Amino acid sequence: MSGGGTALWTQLFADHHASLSGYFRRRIADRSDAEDLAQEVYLRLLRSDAGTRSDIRNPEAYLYTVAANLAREHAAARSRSPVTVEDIDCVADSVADERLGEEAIEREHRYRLLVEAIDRLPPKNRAVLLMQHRDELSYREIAEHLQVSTHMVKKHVVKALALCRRAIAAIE
Amino acid sequence: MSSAEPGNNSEAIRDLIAEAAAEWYVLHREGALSPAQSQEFLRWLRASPQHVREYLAISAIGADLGAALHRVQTPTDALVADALAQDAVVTLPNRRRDTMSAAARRRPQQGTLRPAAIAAAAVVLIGSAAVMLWSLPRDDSISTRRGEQRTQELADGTIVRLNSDTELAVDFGPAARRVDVRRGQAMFEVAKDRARPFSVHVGNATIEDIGTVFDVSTTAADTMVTVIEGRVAIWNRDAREHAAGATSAGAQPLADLGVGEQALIAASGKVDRVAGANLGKATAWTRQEIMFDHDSIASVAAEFNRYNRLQVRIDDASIARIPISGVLRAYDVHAFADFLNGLPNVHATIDAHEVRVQRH
Repeated sequence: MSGGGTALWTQLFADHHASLSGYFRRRIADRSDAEDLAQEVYLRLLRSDAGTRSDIRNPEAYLYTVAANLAREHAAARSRSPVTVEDIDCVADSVADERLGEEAIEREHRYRLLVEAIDRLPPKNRAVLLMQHRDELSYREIAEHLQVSTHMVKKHVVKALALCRRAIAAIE
Repeated sequence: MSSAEPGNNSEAIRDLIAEAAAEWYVLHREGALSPAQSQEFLRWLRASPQHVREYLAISAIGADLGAALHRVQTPTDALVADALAQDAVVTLPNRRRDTMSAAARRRPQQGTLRPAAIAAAAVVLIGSAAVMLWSLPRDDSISTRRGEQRTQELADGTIVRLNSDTELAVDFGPAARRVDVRRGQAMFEVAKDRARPFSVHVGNATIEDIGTVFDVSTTAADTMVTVIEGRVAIWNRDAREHAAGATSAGAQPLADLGVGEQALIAASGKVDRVAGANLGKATAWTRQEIMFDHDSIASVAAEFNRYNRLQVRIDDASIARIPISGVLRAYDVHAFADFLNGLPNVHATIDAHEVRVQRH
């Protein structure tokens, strides 16, 4: 697989991101949903062991695809149950509008939580994350700025991501 | 035996899992993984639902980073200056970490796994069912030797995976499918067939299900049932047979288990139910791993003895009770001996026949 392939998978995740992030939003309201999703994805991964291991050549892409499909299935099952057939025609447009609004609000909420978590990071982790993702500097450029090795830069990025994740998990 | 106390340890484990997930995520963003790395990543994902959860959560954060970070106005120079100053202020990151941990501590803890008790005496459990007339003419028992694992598809499409040193008896008739676990551990992925209910018999317990995946591990002292998918009901064998014969609505299963639940059935028939089981741990054997989390040295040694000819013997009862945590290859007794030698006051020696564990 080439570097271009990786970009492709990154795009794939970006495509799936809307349906996945719905889960992380609902997680606040209904924790069990996100638990179910991870659990189900996990079970599919286990089951894929029935064939040969090499049949999953790109496990990350496989993971995103399985997760996004399950998230969509759950969302479909959810919206099916409470809405009656008669409701659908007259409210379809307003629901679509509402969804868009809801998505924007949810995205705003996510960004705010993330910015708060980044503000609380140790300075090095914070600097590295911003330089990489906002200023789009390479590991080598960041390493020069901070007078550390590129290996160390990578460690700071990993730590920063993990700390953000834990901070957001603690709030939710 | 008591379950592990939730607390700082489980939080430290969550931190480690989040870091492992972030490391994999960063590695993926750097470019192509080698086939070996891809397989290693898959193995890691398969080790626990917690790994899957953390990886998805970190991916979601990663996808938001670009947009979110553009809202941070701090100029790069100031960021660099702060970062360089950090070297002089060693306590800062630690204090910050403590604050986050305190916030996390308020959350309810997940359930923990109750370690299986150790076999105290060798008791052979044999099902009392008569051999049915329509039994297959060939030998209907499946077994593995010590150190051998096997996956087999049964006549109905059910897939059964046998751990080392395990014996099953399979008895499929036109109205029922029955498997007796005589010893050892097995995982069942049951094929749906409503006309022929599937049941697993072990000791004095009957486990019934309708299309599901579950794990049964039995020692002379007790049996552990773990549900990986679907639902199972556990019955006292006599009560179940009685209930099937008459129309007794009063008969109740001993336990009704859903996904991620576990039941420890003692020889006495007492059932302890555990919610939120660690499925990664319960299925570790399918990856030839032994995963232990606050389990006694004695119970971990019993697991190693299930796989290896080189047996671990513990001479000191106070050492046998010490709780340990880690993951090791099931066939690597030497690694286990090294692990034990790393503990204070514990000394493990290896000769041709056994690993002896003594007080130092």
